[in-house]
Amino acid sequence: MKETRLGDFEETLLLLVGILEKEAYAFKIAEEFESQTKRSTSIGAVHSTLNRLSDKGFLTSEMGAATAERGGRRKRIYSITASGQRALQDSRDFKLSLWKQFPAFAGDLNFSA
Amino acid sequence: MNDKQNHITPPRLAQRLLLWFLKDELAEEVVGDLDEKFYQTLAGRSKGKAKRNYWYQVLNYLRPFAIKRNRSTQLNQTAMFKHNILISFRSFGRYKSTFLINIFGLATGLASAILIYLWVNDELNTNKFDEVDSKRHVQVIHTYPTSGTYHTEIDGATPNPLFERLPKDLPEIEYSFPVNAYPSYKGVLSSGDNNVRAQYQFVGKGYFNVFPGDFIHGNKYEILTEKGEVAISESLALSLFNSTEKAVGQLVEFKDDYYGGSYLVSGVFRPTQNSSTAFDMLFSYELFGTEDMMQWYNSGTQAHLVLKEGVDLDQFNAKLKGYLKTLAENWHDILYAQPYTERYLFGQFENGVPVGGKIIYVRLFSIIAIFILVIACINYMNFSTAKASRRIKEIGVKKAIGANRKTLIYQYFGESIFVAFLALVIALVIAYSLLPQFNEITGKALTFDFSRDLIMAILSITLFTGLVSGVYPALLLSGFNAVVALKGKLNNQGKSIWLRKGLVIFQFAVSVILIVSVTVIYKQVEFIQTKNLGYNKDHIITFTKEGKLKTEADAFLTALRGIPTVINASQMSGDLPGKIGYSQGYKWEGMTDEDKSQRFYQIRGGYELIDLLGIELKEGRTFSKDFATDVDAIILNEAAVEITRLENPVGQKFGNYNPRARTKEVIGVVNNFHFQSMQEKVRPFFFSISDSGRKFIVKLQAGKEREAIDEIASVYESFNEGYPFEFRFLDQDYQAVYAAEERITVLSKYFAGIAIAISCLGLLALTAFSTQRRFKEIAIRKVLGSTSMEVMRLLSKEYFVLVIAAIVMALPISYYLMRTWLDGFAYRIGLEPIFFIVAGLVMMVVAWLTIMSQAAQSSKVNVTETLRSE
Repeated sequence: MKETRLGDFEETLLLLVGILEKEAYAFKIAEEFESQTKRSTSIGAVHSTLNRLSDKGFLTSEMGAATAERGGRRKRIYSITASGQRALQDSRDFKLSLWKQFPAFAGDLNFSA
Repeated sequence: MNDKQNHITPPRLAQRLLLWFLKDELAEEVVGDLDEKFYQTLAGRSKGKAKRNYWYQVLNYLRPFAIKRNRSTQLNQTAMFKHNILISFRSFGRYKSTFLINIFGLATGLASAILIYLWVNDELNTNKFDEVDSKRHVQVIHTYPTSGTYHTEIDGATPNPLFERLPKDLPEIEYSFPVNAYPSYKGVLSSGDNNVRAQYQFVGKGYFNVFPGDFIHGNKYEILTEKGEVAISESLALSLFNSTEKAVGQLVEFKDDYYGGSYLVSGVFRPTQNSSTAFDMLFSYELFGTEDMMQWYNSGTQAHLVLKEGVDLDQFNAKLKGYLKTLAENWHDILYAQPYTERYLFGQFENGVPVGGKIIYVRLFSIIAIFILVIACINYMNFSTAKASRRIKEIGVKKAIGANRKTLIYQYFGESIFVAFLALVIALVIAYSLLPQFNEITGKALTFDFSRDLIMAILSITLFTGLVSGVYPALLLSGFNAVVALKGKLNNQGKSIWLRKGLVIFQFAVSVILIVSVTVIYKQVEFIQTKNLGYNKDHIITFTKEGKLKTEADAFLTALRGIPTVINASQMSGDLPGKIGYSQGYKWEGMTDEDKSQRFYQIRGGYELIDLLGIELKEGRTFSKDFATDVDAIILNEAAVEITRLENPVGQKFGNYNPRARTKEVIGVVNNFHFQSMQEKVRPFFFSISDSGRKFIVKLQAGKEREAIDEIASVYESFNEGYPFEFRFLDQDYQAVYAAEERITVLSKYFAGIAIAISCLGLLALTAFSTQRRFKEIAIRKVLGSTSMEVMRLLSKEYFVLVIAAIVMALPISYYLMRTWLDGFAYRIGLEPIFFIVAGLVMMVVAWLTIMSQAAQSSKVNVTETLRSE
């Protein structure tokens, strides 16, 4: 049985893959991660996690188009699978339920599903 | 992106590293991503930053998911390596006793080989010098015809002016220089109250271009040009002046018959380790080469030549051979130029050309070392092949689950090399602890200075042993068909058994040859030492006549004879045995032209000498003071009578071509006696009377030697203050001449013993193994009524037959080898059948005992236990 829970880094990357859509390949994801979180990472670290997420079945990938600045090399485009989306939702729902139980914030929260 | 940036590419090394470890299927996307990252960084930041970032990115790809899988095949290899070692240890453990026997056999073999290597290496490096012209350095060897054969001056003596003359006539010679050196060149060097005896020699200009000179003080190329100079060794300087520095520039007093006087120390040197000639002090040849000495009839100087670059030695020698004939019509002597590096090992000449020498022993021991190693290897091979039948299933299983032949070859070679190195560790311990004893036997100062050559030699010997002992199991066993192997039946077992048997035969044949050789060598050496020399060498001491004793010899001798424990005392020229002078130019009745160059050896001595040496008179009478004419009388030996063809020698006159020499009258004939080494035939010789001999010779009362020597020493001191009393026993000198043979005997005895022991160990292991496998058969035989004797006979038969075959094969070979060796001696033992019979019997008994010790054990096997286990 594979581990299906998401870590923080994994969840962020999964979301980034969703955001970037057709541009979701390792380099771009790493760039996006750095610009959105202001935290530094390496392509290798990102790639490694993407690979792990693929193993878990949350991501699928295929080779995309080649561009000049890559020296004519193709890139691997990742996209979220159905189980990936479910994992994201589960994670959000779980956190939401936790937030709801948090008395100090419970009333003010207004999430749209 | 501008043009300039287009030229900049990601760091190549980083990229190569990435591609080296990265999975191939990831290469495209990853390199693409990193390139994009690189150019993006480059656009915004500096070039250095971009490159550094690229490196950072590459190193961050060192993650398990991205690294090539074959990295884990290496893990598999280490696993296999561990597995192989485990399997090896298990199989060693299963046959503990045979394994131990084998590893100790191998270790002993290796230790012997290492020791022999040290010795051989030392012998080969003797006289190999590294000076400017050493490579072109040859020495002229002089051979002259005598008694229908040729005699070579082994010491290298040539007519004194030869070295000067040769370069004038032969353009191949660049320059030449003289050396004059004899063991008898000994004098006493003094400074103040310190007296030290020193060995000296004379060297000419050019000596240090080819001979090494490790000078602590003084420039070796500039000193020794004057008669009054001397260079002394470090130890001489220390014992005279307590310092090498203070010695230089000092005047030293030298006491010697011919070269006594004051000399100025102009240099201090350290002796050369790998030189065959030893000396404590060097004089300039100027001192020796007086006008008188530099005549063609005076000889004794070595002629050393340095040839021009590119001169062919064979052609030069062809020219040199008859050179003396160009100087004088009837001078038939032969000259031969020998490279100086070969002088030590090729010191034996026949008809003027080198035929061998110490090289025989170097070769002999190299062969013995190889034999011992081979025998030890054979043990291991036999053991491994025997074990093969037990391990054949292992091979089957391995092959069935996919091991290929290569892995099996690696495994078995790995195993045998591993054992060889294990044995090497034990061997090094053995060799190291035996080195002092080995040095004592060989008379050398060998050390384990771990030079690169030595390490390489030891490692390659070990590797060679490992490889050779692994060849059979590695190449043959790995070739078995998996199915056949799993069945546990070897269809080509017949072949391997024959191989094993062949190896056993070889092993024992070598052992038998060694036994025969050792016996014969030992007997020959013993024969030489106990043979009737024609004179009695026991209880006789000699010492040098020097200082005041030269003028007061008669008074001193009378005083010596007055000592009750002294039987007789006299004086003589030359040294017994070996260093006896000769002269030529004699005339006698009935001589032919050819006889003109006939040389006669001679000892000039006191009246009592013949009597003192116990030499038997054959005809006539010995010298007597009663006849005043005896100062001009001579006594011939039988060889001289034979060569001169005198029917009635007594009363004959010997004239001389030298008009100043006086005519001699023969008054007697003595039996032949060996005044030279036993390897030489007894040559024409005569005694004459003289009181100018350089040696005193004193016969002591047997059993009272110590008292006699004490008394002689006190008489000596009263006559000759300032000279240390140093004497030698004649039989010691005699033994020194045969020291080489003596050492060879002792050494070969040990190594033959080792070879035999290793062979027997192998046989022991083999019988132990094969009887172990036949336990069940033995048990059944016993149940059916076999007696222990019958079982033992059954078990021993198989190998005993092999030993007999080995003996039969070895005897003719050893006969041939020993006959060749004995041919080198003029006086030798016959090859009696008893040597061979004894060798064969010894081998049989030893082999039989070995086999029996095993067979006896297995015949006591517990029947029920053995049969029960299935």
